[in-house]
Amino acid sequence: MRLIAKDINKSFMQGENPLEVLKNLSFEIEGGTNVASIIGKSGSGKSTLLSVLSGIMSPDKGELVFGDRAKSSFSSDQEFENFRKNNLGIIFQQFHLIESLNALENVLLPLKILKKDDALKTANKWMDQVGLSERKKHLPYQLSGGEQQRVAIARTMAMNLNIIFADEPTGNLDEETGGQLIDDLFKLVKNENKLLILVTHDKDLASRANKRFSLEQGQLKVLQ
Amino acid sequence: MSYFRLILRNLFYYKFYSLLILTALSLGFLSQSVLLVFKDGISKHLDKNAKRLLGADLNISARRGITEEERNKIQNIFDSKEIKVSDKSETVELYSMVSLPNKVKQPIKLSLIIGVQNSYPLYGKVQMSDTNKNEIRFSDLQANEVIVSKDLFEQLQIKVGESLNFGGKDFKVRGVVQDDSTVSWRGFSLAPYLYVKIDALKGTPLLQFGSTYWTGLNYLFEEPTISTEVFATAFHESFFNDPSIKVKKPKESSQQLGRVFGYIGDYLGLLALLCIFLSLIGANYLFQNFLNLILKQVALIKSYGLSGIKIYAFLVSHLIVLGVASSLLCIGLSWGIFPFINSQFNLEGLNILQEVNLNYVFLLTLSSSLLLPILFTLPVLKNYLKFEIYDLFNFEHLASRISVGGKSLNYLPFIIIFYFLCVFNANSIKVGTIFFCTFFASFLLLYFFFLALLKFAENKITNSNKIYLDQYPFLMMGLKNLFTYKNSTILSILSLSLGALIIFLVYQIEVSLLTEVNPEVKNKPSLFLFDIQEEQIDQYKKIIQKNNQEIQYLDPMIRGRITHLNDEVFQVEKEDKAFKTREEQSAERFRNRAVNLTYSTKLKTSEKIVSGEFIHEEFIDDGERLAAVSLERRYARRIGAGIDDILTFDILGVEIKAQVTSIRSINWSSFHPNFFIVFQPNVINLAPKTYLSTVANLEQKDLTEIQLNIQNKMPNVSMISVNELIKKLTKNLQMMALAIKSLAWMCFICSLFVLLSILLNSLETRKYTLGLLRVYGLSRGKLIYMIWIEFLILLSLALVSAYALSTVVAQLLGYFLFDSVVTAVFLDTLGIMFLILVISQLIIITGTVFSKIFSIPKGGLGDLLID
Repeated sequence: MRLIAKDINKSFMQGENPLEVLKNLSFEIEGGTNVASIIGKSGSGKSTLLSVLSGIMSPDKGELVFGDRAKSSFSSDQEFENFRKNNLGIIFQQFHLIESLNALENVLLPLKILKKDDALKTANKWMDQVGLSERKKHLPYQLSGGEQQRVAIARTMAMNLNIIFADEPTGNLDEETGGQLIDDLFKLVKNENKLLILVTHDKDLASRANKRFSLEQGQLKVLQ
Repeated sequence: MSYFRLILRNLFYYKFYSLLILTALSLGFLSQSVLLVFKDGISKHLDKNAKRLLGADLNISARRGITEEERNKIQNIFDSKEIKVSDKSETVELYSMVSLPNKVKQPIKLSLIIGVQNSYPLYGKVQMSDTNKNEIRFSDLQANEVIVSKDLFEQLQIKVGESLNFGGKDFKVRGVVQDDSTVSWRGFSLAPYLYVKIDALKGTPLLQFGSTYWTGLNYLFEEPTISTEVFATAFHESFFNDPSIKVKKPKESSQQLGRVFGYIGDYLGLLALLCIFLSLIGANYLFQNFLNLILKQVALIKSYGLSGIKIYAFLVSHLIVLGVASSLLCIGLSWGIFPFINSQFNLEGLNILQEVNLNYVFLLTLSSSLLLPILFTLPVLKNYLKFEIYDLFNFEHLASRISVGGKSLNYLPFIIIFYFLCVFNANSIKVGTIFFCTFFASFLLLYFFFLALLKFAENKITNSNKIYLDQYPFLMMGLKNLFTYKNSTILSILSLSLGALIIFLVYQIEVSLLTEVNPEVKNKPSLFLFDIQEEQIDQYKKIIQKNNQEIQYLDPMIRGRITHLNDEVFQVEKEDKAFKTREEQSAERFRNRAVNLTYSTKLKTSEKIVSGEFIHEEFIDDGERLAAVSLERRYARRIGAGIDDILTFDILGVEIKAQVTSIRSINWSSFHPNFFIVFQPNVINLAPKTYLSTVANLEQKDLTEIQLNIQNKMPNVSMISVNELIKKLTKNLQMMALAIKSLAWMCFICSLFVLLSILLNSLETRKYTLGLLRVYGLSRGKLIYMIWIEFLILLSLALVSAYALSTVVAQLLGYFLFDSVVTAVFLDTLGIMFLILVISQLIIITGTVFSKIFSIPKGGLGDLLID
């Protein structure tokens, strides 16, 4: 799916002064791209950008286009919300698995929320896909960091979303585990023909993307 | 900036939590401060008005006449101890039926007749006036005149100048009592009263042998402080062997009056402790949320090198400020509440707020509202102190890692102080200890029961091959959250159960007691008669037969005293100790009291043998066996007697030994003439006696007719219309129930606060999870629905356990206290259950809607992402 951002502005009030985080930010990721990366230092506004791009937060100004559909063309917030939850997903650095649910249930729950058909079958399939067939009944605390992130990936992939945002997906993992996980993730998005947008400060990881951007002073610069 | 200013800044900045903690503490300690004001106010009032209540510096009383010989003995004490008496007066009090001889539809009332002399009362004042508001004094009263109390005046619908009749004589109503310092504020008296000249009363047949009446000799001394004590000591020595004649000092008189209120206050005090306990649980959760908010400060001041103890002091100071504020709020609110309490409990004559020692109440409220929260939060604070500086800087996840509770041992200081409070509030080591042990044992028992239940359910669901989440996603989410946060789940259930339990319990007991005393119940007597003389029996039977009625019971009553239990002296000597526990006071009164004895060959329908064998045959003195005696269960327990024990009685100077052969339980609410001690016939039959009797199933017309006939022909006999008595008892019962219900609802409000606190804590701890669910597209409504389901499970568990527990406790109380089975009133309590459920659900939904969980999607993913 294509993703276009046009003149995105976002600021927050810091005391009585506005703090401009995103300033006339524009970019385009063409359809057919599998992996794009956004690199930025701490405090550069990566979280804000991710929130805006994933549709969780509205920009103050600007337009977003998902595929052929501009955000402004949605007739209501509810219509966009329906679109968002069926097309845009996030993989978090902290995994954010639900502690009270086992691995399989963590994958299953969003499918139930989205009322997907064959939710259990899909959840099982994705648990197998990420190589955790034997760990389905384990609670998050019984899993290693890498396994937890695999569950988080399975959870997002199972939802069959078109654009997946990944926030430092290997930030909490050691190099070897992280590397293996990224290989698998890249493979999965390629097989499923999805767009993965990686937000990271790891230059090596970012360099593996088809398309690379750098977030500096509220604007995205194309690196490749 | 000073630490104090920082603390104040924190409290103001996080005002939401500050206010919630303040409210939780205030709710908990309000009932305690109200009770402190109530108890202290009454005790101060009684101390201050002790002489007015007794009406003298000293009173000598006997439940009979005082003989010339005894009067001489008393005079000898005055002479030998050189005590100067400046004034004296004599009174005689008895209960009798009062009727209106000149009215066609004659109302008839059991009344307290007080025979007085001109100088009555020696302290205080009785204000009396006629229709024209002219003041009347006792010296103005003629022998055939009476002054009636306001309530008797109203109940008889009589006018000044009209006649009324008691003791077979007519008396003219001279006036009405307007204000009476000696009898004012006798909240629970069963009958209205009237004053008559003592000589006129002595002229009636009401004072004959066997009649129940009290004679009082009242004295005013020139040097009251010394003389009262000197006389009391000499009196005890002189009359040591005769417990039927007693000396009463002003303080004892006020203690006697204060006892009723004391007991109410003591038991309510225990309920207040439950409120405190619940509010502390709530405050603990809220305080933890508050601490999480100021975690950065803690880390910073720790990094500056502040010692652990100083950090502890810094954190505790927040609680101290809130504790002081809450005690001020409690005292203020107590003041606001008292006019309402006075009006509800007919205490208008008593201005508690003027009497109370504010410093004492404030000091106690302040110390308990400071000490208890500090000790209760000690284990939680310890959790915050044991983290390293680098730990403390990982704010986002540290908060959720800090457990709510702490090591059990850390709760020990709180438990010790709480125990002392139980004893202090109950005013009894025994009651306080029983309450404390029962409370904590039940708490722990239920805690482990629910823990086992949750673990069992968790294992069942986890180990099942079925993925329940696929079928019931919200129910499973709710259940799984309850499993994950077991501590909070169990504390919520226990708190809510405790709140609801007391409401259910009070309701069940009230409904059962009201059903028990319902006059419509079969075999319930309509008329209760006492003081029937032996020679009046035939006449009495004739009157009843004439009205085509039957006597239900006719039991002889003989006065006696237990002198020995298995050859050990039973009576105890009075001690003048400054502080006596309720048990000591009670034992002293109980053991020296004369008892009513009877004899019978059969049990009544209201009696049941619980151990031993009831002897139905008459006693034959063969020189080998002792006479058999049956004891009421609780009485036996109280005097420490069991089967085969030997009791020695003193019946008018004659010593009689008897052996306990059976223990009975009595359903006292049957209103049958029941006795603690029943002899085998042919042992005490010859002792002088009077009779008690009941007549059942009377229509109002027959009831009035029988009462009038008996009053005309047997004027010494007193009668109680059981229906009227029940009305009075019901009124008193409902008044007591109101006090208990108010505190029970207060407890429930505190438990709701616990629920709210746990909800807020839970939402705070799970904010990442909830945010995540929002990201996955879970709508607001569904999110609320999910939390609602979770708490619905919790509430249902709490309500079911509360109802089950209240039923068990009600049955136990019914069995041990009232000797009857408490009726299960499930259908009646459904309404209350529904109300509790609705209120709790509203709290949950409101708390969820106004919590900040919905701000996550709007505010971006800041909490979920790491920038």
